[in-house]
Amino acid sequence: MSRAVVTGAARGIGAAVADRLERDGFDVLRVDLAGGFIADVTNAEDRARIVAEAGTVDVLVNNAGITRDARIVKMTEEQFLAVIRVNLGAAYELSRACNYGDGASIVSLASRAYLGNFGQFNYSASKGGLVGMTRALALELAPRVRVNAIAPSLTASEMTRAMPEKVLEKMIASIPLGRQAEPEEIAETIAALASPAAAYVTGQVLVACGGRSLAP
Amino acid sequence: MIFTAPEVQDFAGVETALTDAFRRSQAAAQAQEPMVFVLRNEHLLGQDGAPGAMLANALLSGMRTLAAEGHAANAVAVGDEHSPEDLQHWIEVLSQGRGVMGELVHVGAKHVGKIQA
Repeated sequence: MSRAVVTGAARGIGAAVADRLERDGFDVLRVDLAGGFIADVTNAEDRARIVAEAGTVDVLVNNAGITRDARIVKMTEEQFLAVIRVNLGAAYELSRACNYGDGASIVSLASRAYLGNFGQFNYSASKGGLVGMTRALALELAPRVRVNAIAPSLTASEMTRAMPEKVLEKMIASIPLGRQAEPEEIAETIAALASPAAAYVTGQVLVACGGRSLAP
Repeated sequence: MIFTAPEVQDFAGVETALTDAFRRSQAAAQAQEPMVFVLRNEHLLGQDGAPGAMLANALLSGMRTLAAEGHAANAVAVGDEHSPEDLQHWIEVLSQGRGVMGELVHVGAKHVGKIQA
């Protein structure tokens, strides 16, 4: 049975990806702070436990991420570093540490925010960093391992459900497809990138934003 | 504020450089100074190792967010073939902060035919 590792797998996109990969027949190691294989991906010892538990990895999904939003003039260094360490540092170190089988695939969760987003200097930098990591590792690990990223936009989650209704409506109004994504839709795209259907695709960022990056 | 991305070898180096960029960007934003980030094309394209690629692309994305917040932030990407005079010219142009925000200027042609950074 093929092995998959999904970080941040307890809820949202991570849980949906893990479910989707299980339906595809993967033996999924669900990594999270709060359920499944409990580990902190920013901790080197915890990453070593993940690598040991995973064995030979066929699909790695770097999904674990946090936000600490503030305009640059108000952002604290603690807010900045927390996001960089979780979203970028942990993904890079885990990607380097895993033992991959031939034909393996890494998919990292970037974000449309890598194109720039008000109030998210830390988050957009972390996601831009993931894009850079994707390109470099695609060259470094070819031809054995493919490396790609997906850049979603607004996706239904506990965070969006907690937003004031008018704020959410305004954000959705900026999306040409007229709605936020469901986690399962993003999971489908990740599963496709990880699958043989995308066997000739590496080093790419698929922007799955409902057209928001095009809209005024 | 002119921030030239240093060469980095590992994630610790990336984190140190990004923290420096954060501090200097914040100070420039508070002082309403134009900002120019100087990057290497090879790093934007991922052609010279993951640490440099992460740093360059993180700075590019951060620069675009600074522009989204109304700051005169731009970037210049250079290749090994660039002349120092050409680089200096574009830094001076972008340092004036006149109307252009969130833009990446490539000095040289190494990016042509590659992915859009």
